[in-house]
Amino acid sequence: MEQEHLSDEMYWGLSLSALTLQSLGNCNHRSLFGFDGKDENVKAFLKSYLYSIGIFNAKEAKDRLYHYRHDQMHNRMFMEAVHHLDLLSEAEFEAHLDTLETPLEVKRCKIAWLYRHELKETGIRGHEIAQYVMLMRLYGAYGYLEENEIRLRLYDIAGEVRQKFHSWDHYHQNVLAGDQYVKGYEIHDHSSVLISNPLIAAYYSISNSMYQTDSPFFQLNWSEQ
Amino acid sequence: MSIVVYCEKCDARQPNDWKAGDSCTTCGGMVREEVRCTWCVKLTPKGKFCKHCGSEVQPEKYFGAARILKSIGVNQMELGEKLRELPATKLEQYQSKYNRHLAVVQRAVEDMQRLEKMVVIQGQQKYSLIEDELLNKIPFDDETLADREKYATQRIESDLEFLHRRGELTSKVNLQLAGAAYYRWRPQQLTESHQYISQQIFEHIVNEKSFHREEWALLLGHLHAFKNTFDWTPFRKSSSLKSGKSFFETLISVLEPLLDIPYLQPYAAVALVHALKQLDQTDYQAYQRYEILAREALDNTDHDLRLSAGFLFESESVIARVGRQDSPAGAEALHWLLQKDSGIIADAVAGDSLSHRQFLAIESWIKNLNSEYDKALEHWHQRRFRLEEKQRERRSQLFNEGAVSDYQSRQEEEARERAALEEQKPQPPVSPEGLEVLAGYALNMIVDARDFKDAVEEDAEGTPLYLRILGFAVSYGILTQEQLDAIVSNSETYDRRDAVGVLLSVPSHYGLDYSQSYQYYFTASKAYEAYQEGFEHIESWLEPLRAGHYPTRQALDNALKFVKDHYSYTSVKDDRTRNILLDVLHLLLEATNEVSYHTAIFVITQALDIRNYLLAEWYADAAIRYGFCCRSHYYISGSPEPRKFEIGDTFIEDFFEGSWESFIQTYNRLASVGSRLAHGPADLVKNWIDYNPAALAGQLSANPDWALQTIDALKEGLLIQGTQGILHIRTEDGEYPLIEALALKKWDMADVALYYHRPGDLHYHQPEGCLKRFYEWLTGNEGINYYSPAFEKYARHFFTFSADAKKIPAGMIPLWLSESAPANRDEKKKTFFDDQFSVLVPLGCNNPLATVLREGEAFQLTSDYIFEHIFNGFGEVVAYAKANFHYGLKSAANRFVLQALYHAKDELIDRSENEEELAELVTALSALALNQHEAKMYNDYWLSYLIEVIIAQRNGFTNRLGFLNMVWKLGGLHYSISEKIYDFVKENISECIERDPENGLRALYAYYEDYFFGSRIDAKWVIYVLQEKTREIAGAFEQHEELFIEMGLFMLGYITREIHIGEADQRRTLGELEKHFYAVIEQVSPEKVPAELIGQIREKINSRQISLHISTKLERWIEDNGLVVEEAEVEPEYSSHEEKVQLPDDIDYDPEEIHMDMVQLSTFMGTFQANKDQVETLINHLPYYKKDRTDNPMMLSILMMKQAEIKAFLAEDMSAAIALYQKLLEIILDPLCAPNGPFPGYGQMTALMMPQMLEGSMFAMQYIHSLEAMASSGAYSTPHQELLKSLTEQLKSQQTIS
Repeated sequence: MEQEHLSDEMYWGLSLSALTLQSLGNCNHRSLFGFDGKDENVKAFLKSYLYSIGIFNAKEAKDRLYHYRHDQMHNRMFMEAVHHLDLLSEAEFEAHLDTLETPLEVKRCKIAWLYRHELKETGIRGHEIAQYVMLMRLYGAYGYLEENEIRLRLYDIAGEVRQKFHSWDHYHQNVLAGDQYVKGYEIHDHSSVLISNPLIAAYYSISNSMYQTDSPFFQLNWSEQ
Repeated sequence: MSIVVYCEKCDARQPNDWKAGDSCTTCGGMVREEVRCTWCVKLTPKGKFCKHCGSEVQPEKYFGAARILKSIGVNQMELGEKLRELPATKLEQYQSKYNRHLAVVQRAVEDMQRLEKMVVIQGQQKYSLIEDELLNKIPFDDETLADREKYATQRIESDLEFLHRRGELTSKVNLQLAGAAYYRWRPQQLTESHQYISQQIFEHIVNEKSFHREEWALLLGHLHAFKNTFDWTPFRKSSSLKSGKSFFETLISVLEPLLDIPYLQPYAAVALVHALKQLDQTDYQAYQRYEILAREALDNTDHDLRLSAGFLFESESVIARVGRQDSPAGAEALHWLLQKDSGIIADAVAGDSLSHRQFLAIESWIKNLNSEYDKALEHWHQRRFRLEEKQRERRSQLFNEGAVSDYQSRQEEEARERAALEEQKPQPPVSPEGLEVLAGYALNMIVDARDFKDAVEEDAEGTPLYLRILGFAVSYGILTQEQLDAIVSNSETYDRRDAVGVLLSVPSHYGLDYSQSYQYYFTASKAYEAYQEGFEHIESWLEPLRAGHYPTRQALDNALKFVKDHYSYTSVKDDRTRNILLDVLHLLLEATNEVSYHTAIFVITQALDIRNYLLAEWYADAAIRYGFCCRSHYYISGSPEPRKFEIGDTFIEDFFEGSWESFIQTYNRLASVGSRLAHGPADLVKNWIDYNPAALAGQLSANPDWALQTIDALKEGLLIQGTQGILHIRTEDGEYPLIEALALKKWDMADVALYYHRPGDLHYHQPEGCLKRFYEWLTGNEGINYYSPAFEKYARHFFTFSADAKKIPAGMIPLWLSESAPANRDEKKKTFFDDQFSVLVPLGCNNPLATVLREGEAFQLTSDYIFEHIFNGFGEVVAYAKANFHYGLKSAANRFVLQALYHAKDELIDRSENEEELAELVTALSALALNQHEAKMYNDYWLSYLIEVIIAQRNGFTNRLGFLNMVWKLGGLHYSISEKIYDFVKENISECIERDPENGLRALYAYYEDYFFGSRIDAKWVIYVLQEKTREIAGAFEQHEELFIEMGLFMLGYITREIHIGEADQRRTLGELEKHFYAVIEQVSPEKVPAELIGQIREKINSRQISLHISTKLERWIEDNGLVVEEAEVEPEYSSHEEKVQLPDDIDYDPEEIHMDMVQLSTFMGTFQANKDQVETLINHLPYYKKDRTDNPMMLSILMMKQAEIKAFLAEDMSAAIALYQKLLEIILDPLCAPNGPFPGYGQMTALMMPQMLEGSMFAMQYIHSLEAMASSGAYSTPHQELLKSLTEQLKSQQTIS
């Protein structure tokens, strides 16, 4: 229904948050906000989710968007780590791990080490953007953002995505990697883990459904427009 | 008709009343020798034959035999012969037989002799009458004889007894005389009715056959007839008698002869005079004579007669003289004197003391006098007793209800009732004054030890004489000291303690020294050795005590000790003794001397000594019930002033050795002690206090330690007995020391219960201290006390003010804030307290603070009060805010605190200790605003004030930006605050930029992005700030190179951004940023601009990502400042643009076609209508850039605005349509309007308008082809070509759809 109001460009942009949004729960990929903000239960869920990530009011919501957009979140951290690790030998890396204080830092450092070559160019920007888009949709559902502003911001961010990623799969894998880094868990082979991680579950579900006609992502081409 | 008789021996004349057989009055010999006729038994002169029957008179010796013979049938004629024929033996036999019968007669004669002594008239005639009567009857029949003989054997000693048994007399003569004698004998003790007596006298007088008419007539002059009670009715009857004469005539005829007999004369005269007086016949002719004769009787030796005369003539002296006589007459005389209250009654006393008989006479008279009165009095006393009983009942009921204060009115009412009864009290008969005189003489009867000893005769009630004498004497007379001493010593001698008791049973006579009698009477060392005797002794105190005689200290102490020792038995077994004891104690306590004090000490000591609880209880109950030691007075030695049993220094001095503490401890000890009886020891103590509570209150007020002890005792009392004790006492200043003391200690449940019972006027006027303690109690112990029974039963009632804030004690508010704090998870409690207190919170934050009750008066809360008293200082407020504010405005408690903060918003910085604290508060406030859960309804009236509070704190923060951010976050909450917040942010961000440019600018530019995407009007200020603060920003950039680079790149990123067609807002916003960017660059001194930034700028300029006029300005600026780097390659492209831009002179246009200047144009646009002229003018002016030389596609906008109108016109005017299409095509194809040309706006706008104009036109295909051809001609630059291509595509697709 709502899909009819969405231009292809918009739909494409919104789909950037498909993984992250689906990992949250039972969303509607074809709608602008993904969730029905008029439903009190949904609103309560959104509220608790936003609270859990430290967003309590409009100002904080906007600030968070600003941080994501201007690369002031985890990607910057990741990139710094990658640049730093690039110069180290393996032994030096082991030594470096010992200097870290918290387990999370150690895990993140290991992941950065793991992806230090692979993600040298893109970092985990895909993940950040996915978060960015998802937040916008959630804000929209919750009432922090207007539809128009989402549109403007989507158009704004789309260029960067197109520039950095060459396919949906490329983008989605970056989202997963970013998630690993942020949360600090190591998964070398995605296909072998149990589908207990909702993000990974969403990845498989969406990847597999890309070519099915009843999928919301059918015929959603990376290079379109 | 009388016959004059003369004595045969001496020839003396005999009195008129002479009868045959009487002796001579002169010589005493036989007046006439007479013998009894043997036949008719009548007296006859001693001659030959009887003068009555004519029989032969026989010699004396034959008389007996003759009677026998006659009885056996010998006739009159034969009798003399027979007698003489009788042989001697036979004669003797008859004689003896006769003698036996004669003995009966003899006995009758003897009786007569006895009777004669009791009557007035003497004489032989009476004996003759007997013989006449009886001798005739000889021989009696056997039965009579046996009866009479039996009678003869009896001997009756007492005359009175003899008279009483007169019915047994043999002779009628005797019987009649005995009647008269009886009445004469003891008149005052007659048992017969007076009517009967009068009737008998009357009948005997009027009956001519009566044997003793004179004797009976004389009774009229007897004492008896002078009695008031004597009934004269029969005599006064006017009807004449059988004889035809009136009674009065009859009487005179009977008595008149007696006047001639000397010894009878006075008797007869008195009787006559008295009778005449009574019969109102004093005008009788002989009356004067009778009276003269009667007066002589005044000197008669017969006391009875003299007394009668005295009565008759009311001669007191005579009567008094008679009174001296120890005879019934004397008694009568005394009675008369007393009755008349004669002044000379003392004359009746012979010597200095009364005779025994006199005393008895007086006693009986008094008894008679008092008998009526006694009956009435007895009845009255019964009534009084019932009244007292009723009053006592009511009084003790009052006590049970604890309404002691009603005593005053109750007492008054009781007094009225008693007075009413007192008025009805029967008045005692007036005692004659003579009694007082006699009393002294009476006492003298026993002053002498011997007399005293002998005066033991008991009356009918068994009272010995000496007691009666004393009783009489003390009742009516005045004791002298000598008499007193004598009697007391007599009593001691003969161990007659009761005598002294009588003396002491009347109030002491003035001036007498009773000490000896007290010493003797009240001391009884031996009696106390046994229970029974001891209490009998104590019982004997009752009378003296009632009369106001009190024992000595020693005796009192002994008695009280005895009572105390034996109480256990008395209390359990001996009701009677107990009551007596009560009476004795009561009397002792009512004494108006120190005895009352000593007794009171005893009673109080007993009543308060609960070691022996039963004893104490009984004494206390008795004390209250009967008013001992309470509601009464006591006296101490040497002071005539009564002292009340009410608490005060004097009382404490007297009973508690001057120690208030001792008294208070006593009370404390008793407060919890109850009683089986109606009242207990505690009630007694409380009673004293009730009369003067202020005294005790003052002491407690001055000594809080005592008050605290008392509170413990009261608590115990409340819990055990349910009584409130003296909780309500107040000082003279009206303070409640015990309630105040409650505030000095930590509370437990009992304290709450006690406080619940606080006085009524503290219901609202609650002491702050107590409320604080209550608060501590309720909130202490982890709040569990809310669920305690004490809360349910008592404390819940402290909160009965829900409807009115003005009834809420200020001191209760902390309780609410603590219990209803949102952080408190106990919903039940929270709801309860919120229900009670939420009325304190007004509708809006800016309303005045609520008015509450403080110390009983209305008090408007102030912020200061709330901070300093409801909270303990500002630190606590902050702590509260920190813990609770994040629960939002929904909580009334939060709103209340917020209101307080609002009203003091400007002082908060000063109040907070440091910035950290202030920050905590502000953070809490912001949390309060942010939690919108169920708080929407409060936003309207609270949120904006909340913001005001926060904003007012700005000067307290060194980290302005942090503060700013925090305020900023609240921006979206509610429409009412947005403006306020953005105003604030705008105002403050400038300041932030100056103070902390690094963060300030970052925030500012971050917000620009928000503006850029959100394009909200309320964010427009960011642009203003940017414009206004250019200088400052530039200055900041000069100092912070990194910041300059970061922000510069940020701005460049925006400036170089492509804006979609139609996003006018973004374009505008961007334009503003562009201007700002240039302005900043311009302000910064060139050498400060980082090379990196300049490089970027150049790069962007070169790649033509910056709009033309800014890039122009930038380039010029770069050039002017000599910042040009090696960018030669780009230059040509740049210069070609430059050339085209600089070609305006070469732009040729037809001035006729394009003739309007800017002003005309705008008018034209405003008034445009689609007609031939105007459309033509429009078409001509479309390439207006040629004249104007600016990239302002203003004219094209008409096409857009009036599109429908124009298209309708064109559909009709084909030539105009073609001209328009042609003109548009020209513009599109004009290189000046290419995307890289000087007028790209025109080109793009036209490209936009072209498909719209061509839509539905038949010429469309034609233009598609021409455009296609032009695009592929290669004559145009690449961007231009692309534009043409896309236009072609668009037209094509449009064509396909249509």
